[in-house]
Amino acid sequence: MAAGYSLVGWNGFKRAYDGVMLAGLAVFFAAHLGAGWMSAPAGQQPSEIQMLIRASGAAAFSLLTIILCLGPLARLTPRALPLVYNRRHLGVACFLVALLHGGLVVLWYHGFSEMNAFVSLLVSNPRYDSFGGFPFESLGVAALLILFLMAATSHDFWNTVLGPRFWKGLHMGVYAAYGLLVAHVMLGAAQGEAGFAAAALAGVSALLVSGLHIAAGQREAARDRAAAAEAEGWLDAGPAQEIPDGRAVILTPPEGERIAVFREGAKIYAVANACRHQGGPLGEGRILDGCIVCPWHGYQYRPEDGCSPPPFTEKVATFRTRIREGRVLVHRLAQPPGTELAPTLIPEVVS
Amino acid sequence: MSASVAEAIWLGLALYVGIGLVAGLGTVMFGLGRLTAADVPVRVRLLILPGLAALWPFVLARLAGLGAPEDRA
Amino acid sequence: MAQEPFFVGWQEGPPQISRRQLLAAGAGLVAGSGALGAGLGAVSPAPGPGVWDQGKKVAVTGTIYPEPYLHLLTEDLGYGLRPVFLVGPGKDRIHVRPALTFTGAAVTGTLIERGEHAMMAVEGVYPDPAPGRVRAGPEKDLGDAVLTGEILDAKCWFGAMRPGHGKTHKACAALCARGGLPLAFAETGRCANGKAALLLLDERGRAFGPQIIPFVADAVMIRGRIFEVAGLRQVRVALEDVVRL
Repeated sequence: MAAGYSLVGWNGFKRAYDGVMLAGLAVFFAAHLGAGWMSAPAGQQPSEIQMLIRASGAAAFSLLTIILCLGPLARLTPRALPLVYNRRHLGVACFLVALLHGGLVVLWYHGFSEMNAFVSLLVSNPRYDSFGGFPFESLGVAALLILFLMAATSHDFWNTVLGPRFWKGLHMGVYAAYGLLVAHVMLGAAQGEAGFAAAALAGVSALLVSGLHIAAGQREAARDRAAAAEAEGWLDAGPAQEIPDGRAVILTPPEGERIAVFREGAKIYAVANACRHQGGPLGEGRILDGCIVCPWHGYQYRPEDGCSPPPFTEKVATFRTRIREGRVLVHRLAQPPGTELAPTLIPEVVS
Repeated sequence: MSASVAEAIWLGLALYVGIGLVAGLGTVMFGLGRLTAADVPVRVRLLILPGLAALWPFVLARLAGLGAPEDRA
Repeated sequence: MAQEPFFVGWQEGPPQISRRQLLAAGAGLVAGSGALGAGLGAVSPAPGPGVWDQGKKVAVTGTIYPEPYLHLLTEDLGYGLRPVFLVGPGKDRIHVRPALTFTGAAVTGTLIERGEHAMMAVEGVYPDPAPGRVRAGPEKDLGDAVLTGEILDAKCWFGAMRPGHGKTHKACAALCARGGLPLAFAETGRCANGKAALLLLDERGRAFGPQIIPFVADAVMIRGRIFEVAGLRQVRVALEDVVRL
């Protein structure tokens, strides 16, 4: 990314996405608070702050569950891809709701005392040696710190400064945060009266997230097992005519990263499959206006040299291609990112 | 966990963030040119400040020319 | 296949077919959020009948006793002779000049009440212009008992917090216990619904020290002896007879 940064690259879809997100959160809070108020006997309603603590905790946990489901869902069905596009706004919203929850807890349960509220957060329940009695607040604090790190580094500036690998690794911390939050709920709210609802929410959510990841993982593993046949360094990508125009097939070499083999009319190109932005699968993208477009966030690369069009500076590796007996062959050795290679022409289409 | 251990944890965290805020402010005012060739408007500088305060050791390493340049296209 | 719509986020608006799907997904997400929120909100337990009206200032007269917890013995509340525990606005004990104890006093503040239990967040303590010492009378020994339930901080359970019991409230209860506020014991099932709790004291009828803190808000079984003093039941129990379940 070499063009100037903006706070948010707003467009119509992002506005609609954020609108749905904010409406969902508002409806969730209203329904939670309203139902909590109305279901209690008259005069026995919970205090407003404690209701808000419950609602914000449930909202943050549910939102994080949705966020974690979107990735594998998009692997399983392309229909979910638009939901991945603006996922970082969900992440920042999740952090802000979790911060509201944490702030109210610190104020309400740990404030109004001579002891420092933050010290109280770690020491008021001293049963660190117990499983069932473990101070679940500490788990929430750890999760909130991870969510903060992710929210604070969600801007594309950080992807450039830290590098895509480091950035991705940092953001994989969301799974640690989620694990901590499941334990936070199970060892906290789930142990109170009517804790079955909290336990069910955490349990079903954790199963859903795990199940979707396992299903998506199995699909990816099956793709990896079907490694392309190799002869003298050339990988068989199948018949040229079977590659849809403007799209790609994804090759899995016996070793190394996947390769996306694109056809644009009579021309065949091969580039590394992983987008430099967030590792999105370029081979599931399209060629639009002469550029490969990543299905996750729309990052573009020229198919002939793997470079993003100016002023952008991302580059992916390119691969040599040739056609033998109507089949596309791709050499397994990657050329340095940005290396221009002439496309291979499909004879039948050319003639 | 004793109160003194908890105090030490929070004090350490406050110290880390305090150093990070100073380092972050310095970076947004004088150091961004060494991190990216792109133009970074003031509003974006404010947005990235919390991250700079949290990840200041990594940012300082990048400013010093260390880190993972292979990742940077 | 190539004619299938392809979503590019930065383009203005998704393809037409996706727009319908996305609208349906968006509406479904919002409706689902409402259903989930309502479901989770509706199953939240009611906290019980405790009340702390912080806008209603009152003055109560009686006699202040410092032990086992600072309290005002009074007949002003309409339940006959009752102790009103005296606490600060937060989670720490307050101190009253010795000259104002064991004699008639007027206390101003706000009442925290649950059933016949009462506590007062104190704003001022004054000598009673017409002093008459109120006495608790003889204590009644109601015999030994084995009970299961929860050790509570009385201020929150009386109504300062709603709810003021359970694991999520443990840290707050521990903070109140550390601050010297009265502790109580409610039998299982009565934490939320019950109007009556027992004042929790050690086997010699004194307030527990910090050694009880790890047990607050946990499910425990206690074996102790029950007494009734000035209309309030108390359970006196040795620390070793508090067993976590």
